[in-house]
Amino acid sequence: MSSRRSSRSRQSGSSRISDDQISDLVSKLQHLIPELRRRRSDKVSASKVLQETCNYIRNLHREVDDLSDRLSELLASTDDNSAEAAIIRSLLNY
Amino acid sequence: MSNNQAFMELGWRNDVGSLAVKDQGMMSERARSDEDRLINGLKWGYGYFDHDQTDNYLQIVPEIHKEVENAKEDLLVVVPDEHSETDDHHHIKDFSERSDHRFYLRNKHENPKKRRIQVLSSDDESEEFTREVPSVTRKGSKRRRRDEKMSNKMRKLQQLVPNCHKTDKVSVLDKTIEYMKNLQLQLQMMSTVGVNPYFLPATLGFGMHNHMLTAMASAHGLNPANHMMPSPLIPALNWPLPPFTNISFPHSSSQSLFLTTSSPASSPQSLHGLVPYFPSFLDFSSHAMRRL
Repeated sequence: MSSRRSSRSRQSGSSRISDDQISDLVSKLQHLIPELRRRRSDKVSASKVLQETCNYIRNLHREVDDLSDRLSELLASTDDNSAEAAIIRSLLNY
Repeated sequence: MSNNQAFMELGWRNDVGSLAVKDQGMMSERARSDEDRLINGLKWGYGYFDHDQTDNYLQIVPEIHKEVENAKEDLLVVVPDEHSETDDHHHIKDFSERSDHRFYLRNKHENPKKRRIQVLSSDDESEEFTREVPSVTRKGSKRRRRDEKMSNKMRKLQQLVPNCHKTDKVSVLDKTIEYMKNLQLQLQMMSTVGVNPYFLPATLGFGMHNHMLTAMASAHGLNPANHMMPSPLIPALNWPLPPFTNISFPHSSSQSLFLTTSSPASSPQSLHGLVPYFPSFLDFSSHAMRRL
């Protein structure tokens, strides 16, 4: 590990900082993913986190699409001037 | 390559190596300096140096990178069979002390070219190849493969995240985190309203709307009892919602309305801001906690 560090910092001075930054961000990312949060935090590799993030974002997209459909159904049957309709519209226009 | 450079590289390599490796390194340093003098004298520096370096490297690597399976296969092929691994440098040294040129001639005709090619072909990222790479590449090949995997995923992420124009890892990750938070929040909002649409009037005391919306919900097959469950995608720990700072959600007059919930909501605008502060969100939250 230490040799990897040294070999990197030899390449460029700032890469060490961004390495730390990246691992910081990856762990933040990990905490946003329910699937990974349940695990022991230090046992998940960065590439696993990224992979899961991709999957998770795709799932979120799917979910948002589903809910958008449901909301537009709801909107269609709601009084156009009602507060509910306005809320639903604002959610759909996100 | 100068002798000094070679020494530096050996030293660097020995950082990670075991004591045994270090000893070997020392040996090969001595051997190398002897050999180097000869080689320089013979003006055959280039070919021999690479050859020698390759041997050194191959000797050291198996102890460091036992877990690199792919590389192992190559190594088995490449290690010279005439010399046992440890005796090799003694040979070199002994021969060079006698300044026996035939050793080098013999060695040259042994097929150094073939070995060189094998080393090169096992290195699949040859675009960065330079003369000193063979000694470094193996060591870094595992890391490089990992790095490549990482940057592939980074590219995928970048495609998934809108408005992510910068390509460096930090900003991609930054954007991803922000985007994911927003998506989660959006889902929370949507599922709260879409799944349980009558909660608004109920909380605000819109008796009439309540009846109407409940009827409407059941008409659409949105049985509240069945659909109350939150999406498993939404992390429960996020629930005490942060104020909507980075979302384009109008919440200008929400404060005043929130304090006077008994008065009917006059404008839809003010209702937007109200949504996240709803008491039913907290109920929802505990519900979510239990399920997750």
